Amino acid sequence: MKKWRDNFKKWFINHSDMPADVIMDLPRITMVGQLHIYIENHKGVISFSNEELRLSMKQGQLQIIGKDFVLKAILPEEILLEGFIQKVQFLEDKRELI
Amino acid sequence: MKKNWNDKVYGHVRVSVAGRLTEQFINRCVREEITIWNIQRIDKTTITCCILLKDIKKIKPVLKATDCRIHFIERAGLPFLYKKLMSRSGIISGFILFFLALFFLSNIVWRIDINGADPKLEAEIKAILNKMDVHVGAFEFFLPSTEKIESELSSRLNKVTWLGVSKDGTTYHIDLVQKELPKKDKAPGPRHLVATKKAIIHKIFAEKGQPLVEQDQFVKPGQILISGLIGKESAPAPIAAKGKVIGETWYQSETTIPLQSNVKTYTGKTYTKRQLQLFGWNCPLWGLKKKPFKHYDREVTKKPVHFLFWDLPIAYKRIIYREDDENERKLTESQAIQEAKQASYKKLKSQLPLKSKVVSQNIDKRIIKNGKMKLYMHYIVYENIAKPEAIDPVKVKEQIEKHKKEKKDGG
Repeated sequence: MKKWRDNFKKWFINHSDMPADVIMDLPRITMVGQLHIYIENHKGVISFSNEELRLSMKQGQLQIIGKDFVLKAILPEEILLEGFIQKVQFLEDKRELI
Repeated sequence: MKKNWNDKVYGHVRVSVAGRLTEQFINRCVREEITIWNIQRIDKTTITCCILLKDIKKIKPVLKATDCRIHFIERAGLPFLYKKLMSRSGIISGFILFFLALFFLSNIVWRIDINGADPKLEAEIKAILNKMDVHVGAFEFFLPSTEKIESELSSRLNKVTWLGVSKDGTTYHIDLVQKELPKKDKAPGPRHLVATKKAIIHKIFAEKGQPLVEQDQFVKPGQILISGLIGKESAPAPIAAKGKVIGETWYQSETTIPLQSNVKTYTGKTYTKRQLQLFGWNCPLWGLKKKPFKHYDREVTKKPVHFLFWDLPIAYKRIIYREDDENERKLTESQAIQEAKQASYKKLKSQLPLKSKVVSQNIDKRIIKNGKMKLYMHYIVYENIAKPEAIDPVKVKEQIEKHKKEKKDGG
């Protein structure tokens, strides 16, 4: 049933002009050079330090690695991180999800 | 992300939060709609962040739930600035005192400029102004209006032809034109005295010159009354004729007077309202009746308040209501005649030379029509009818020559 629904969504995205993040509840990530990263549709902070920010997503986690991180703003669905960003990576490990 | 000024206006604090579950603290804050920003990691158990001042109350349960401790590092924004200022009463009272002084000095007369007067008159004007309390350093609020000063000055000074008072901020300007006394007439040149109008000579005094008319003689305008040529006819000497010729003249007048008229009279009752005008809205201070009298005249005096160069939208207003009665006045015929007579006499007097005398006045005719009376009057007046007229030397010469010729022809 769930698989069928996912398939339908994919088909819908392919056959309409709707953006994927709206329909599939996916994160939308915007970066400004290495200075800013702006993430929508996150599901909470898992860990935050000067070199790493880990966010929980609907599926898996998002890991951002860099230097001198400052969380400029945080809202229920949005996050703005400032610093020197080196790596953005999706982690599939579901066990670490809280 | 929009940069909003909320945190500047409402104030915010920078805090450090210490605990094992600092990430959970952040998540909880977001869920409770606590505005939190500029989060930085200090060490494994501590973060620092900024929180809006108004959200501080909501943070306690979050701290308890995540087992964190809070420590305030910095306070910023208007509320804290305000608090800081309030604790320094010297600055505040200084500010207030400064504005009060500025306000006070803005409403003071700083200068009185008098233009166009000689030193003597200037001193006189200053004395009169002083009596009205208009002097340098006077508080403008209590001073009479410029119109009043103007009328007072022009009624007190008789050496002045024109006088204008204007106010420019804290300076009064008094511009005036002084009367120039006429210079004494130079010795007049040779002249005749001629009649100005139709008249019968009543009296004639010739100081200098040859009188050419007699008493009870009828004269036409332009006729020579006292000649400036004296001596023999063959060789007349031109002089300036001088004298007075009183002539009997006649005037007719026509006056119309309504028999019925409405007359307004004040009953003597007054009612004063005092108001403070703020931004065009009148705030009553004294006198709350809307319409104190049925029939009235209103007199409004407005005193604006100044601050530096500006008129503040604040003014003190005094409105005086004077009750009046409208009465219908009916004139009897004899009263109407009396009044018409007076009016026409006044009118005539204003037209006549200064030392004239009205000898008799008679009513020629009177017509009452449409509630109005028309009165035709006839006056006999004694007045000076002499007017100087220069003698043309060329004409005199011609006359002499003509005379000589005639004589020769005769001889």
